[in-house]
Amino acid sequence: MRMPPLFDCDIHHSWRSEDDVRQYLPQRWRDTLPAISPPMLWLHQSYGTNARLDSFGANGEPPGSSYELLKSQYLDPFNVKNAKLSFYIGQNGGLANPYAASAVVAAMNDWNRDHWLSIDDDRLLSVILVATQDPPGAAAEIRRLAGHSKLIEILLVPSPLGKPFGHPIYHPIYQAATEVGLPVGIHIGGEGFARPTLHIGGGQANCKLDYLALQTQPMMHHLLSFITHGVFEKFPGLNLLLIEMGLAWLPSFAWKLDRMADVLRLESDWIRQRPSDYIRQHVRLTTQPMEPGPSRQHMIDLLETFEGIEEMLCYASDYPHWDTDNPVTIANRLPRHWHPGLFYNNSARFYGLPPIAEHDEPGPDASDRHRAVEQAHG
Amino acid sequence: MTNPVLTQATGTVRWSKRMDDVGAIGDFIEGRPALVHLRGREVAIVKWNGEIYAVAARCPHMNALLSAGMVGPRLDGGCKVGEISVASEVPLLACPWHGWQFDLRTGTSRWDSTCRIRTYRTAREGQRVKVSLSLE
Repeated sequence: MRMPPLFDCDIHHSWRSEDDVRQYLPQRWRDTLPAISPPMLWLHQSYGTNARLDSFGANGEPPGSSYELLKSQYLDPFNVKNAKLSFYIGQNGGLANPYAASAVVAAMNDWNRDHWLSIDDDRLLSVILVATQDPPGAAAEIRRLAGHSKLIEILLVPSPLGKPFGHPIYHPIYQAATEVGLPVGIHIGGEGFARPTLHIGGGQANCKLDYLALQTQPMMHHLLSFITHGVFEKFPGLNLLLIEMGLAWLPSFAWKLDRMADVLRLESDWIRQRPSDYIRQHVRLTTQPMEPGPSRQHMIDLLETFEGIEEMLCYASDYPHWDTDNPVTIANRLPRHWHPGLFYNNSARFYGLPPIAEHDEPGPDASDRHRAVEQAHG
Repeated sequence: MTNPVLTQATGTVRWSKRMDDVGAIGDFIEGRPALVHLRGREVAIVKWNGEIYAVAARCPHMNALLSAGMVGPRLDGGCKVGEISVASEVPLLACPWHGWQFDLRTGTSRWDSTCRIRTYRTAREGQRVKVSLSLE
C-alpha cells in the first residue's frame, strides 16, 4: 500500500546552543536575561529526555538541531513534502517578564528565518511564534513577519495570563492573524512550563503520566473559550489548529456542547451556530498522539460519530519527541480513503497551499510486515 | 548517544545451526546495543553482565530501531506503594521512541506477554561473538 506524501504539521526544531539565539536579542536582554526559556516544570523523563534516543547528533547535539539528521532520518525516507517546524516547543513566550518574552520570541523568529528557512529546501515551512504574555506585542510581531512565504502559521504555546486562549485579552492576536491571513496553531504542553496556567483540574501534574494523560483538559478549555467568547463570530476568517492532544475526546466533547448550547446562548448571545459546526468549519486537529483504542475499528467508529472528521485530521509526527508517531502506523489505523486528506490535503487546504491529486506522488510504503504487526495488535 | 553499527554480513538466511561471526567481544560496549546487518536481518547485539544477547532490532509497536535504545535492569514495584526493587539479573532493552521494554533473554514485552521480538542464539568462541539466525 503506497501512502500519499506527507504534510507534517508538527516537527520540533531547535538550536545547538542558546547562544545561537541570544545574538539576536537586544543588548539589554543579552546582558541581563539568564535564560531564554522559562523554568521548566520538572517532571521525570523515563530515559532522561523527552526526545527519541536516536535523534541526538553523533556528538550529542540536541534533538531537532540538525537539518541533515532531520532530512536523513525522517524527511527523505518518509517522503515528507511539507514539514512545518514548530520550535522546541516554543514555551519561551511564557517568560515571566512580558517585555523579555516579546524580545525572546522575536529573536527566535529571526534565528529561525536566518538558520532554518534560508536552507535550500522548499519542504521546510514554519511558524511565527508569539509571546502570549503580551498580546499587543504578539500582534506587532505577526505584522512584522507576515509576508514571509515560509511562515504559514501563528503559534501559541503557553497561556501565562491564566486565561484560555479564546478570552478577549488575546483578541489582538486574532485581529492581526486575520489581517495577514494566517491561521493560528495551539500547541499543547506550555501549561507545564509557563507561569500560572493551571488549566488542569486539581493543579499541576505530579508525574509525566499525569501530564500526558491530562493535557487534553487545557485544550478543551482553549477550544471552548473560542466558542463562548464568540471568537469565530468576531473573526470569521480565523482558523485554528489544535496540536498534540489526541483525537478521541472530540466527539463526546462536541456532543456535550451541542446539547447545552441552546441554553447557554442566553449568556453568550453571539453564538449563532451549533458548537460542533464552529469546530467543523474553523478547527483542525493533528493526529499525534493518536489513541490506539481497543481496536482499529473502535477508533474509526468513534471518530466517525463526528461528521466530517476525515476532513479535519492533519497528520503530525511530533519528531523528534519520544512519543512520535510513525506515519505507517497511522495509515494502518485509519481508513485508506481518509489518507489523501489526513496525510496531506487537509493541511494544504488549511494553510492555503495546493492540494495533491490522489496517488499523484506516492509516499512511504506501508509494508506488509508492518501491517501484519498492526493487525496483530488490533 | 549514537549507538554503534558494527558489521554487515550478506547472503540469505540458512535454516541451519550455522553461526555467523558478528565481531570481537571487545567491539561491544557494556549496555550499549549495537546494530548488525546479518543476511538481510537487522539484529541488535547487547553485552550485559558478561552475557551476549541478540534480538530482532525492530520494535513491534512503531518499527523503531531498537539498537538505538537503552539497556537496564528490570525495576519491580514492591509490595508497598512507593517501593521499587532492582532485578539486576533481568536485562531489558527499551525502545528509543516510546520506551517499550523487552526482556533480552526471551524477547517478551515487559507490558504485554503476547508481544515478543525474535531472540537469536549467541555464543562466544575465544574472543569472537557468534550469532545464529536459525530457528531453535
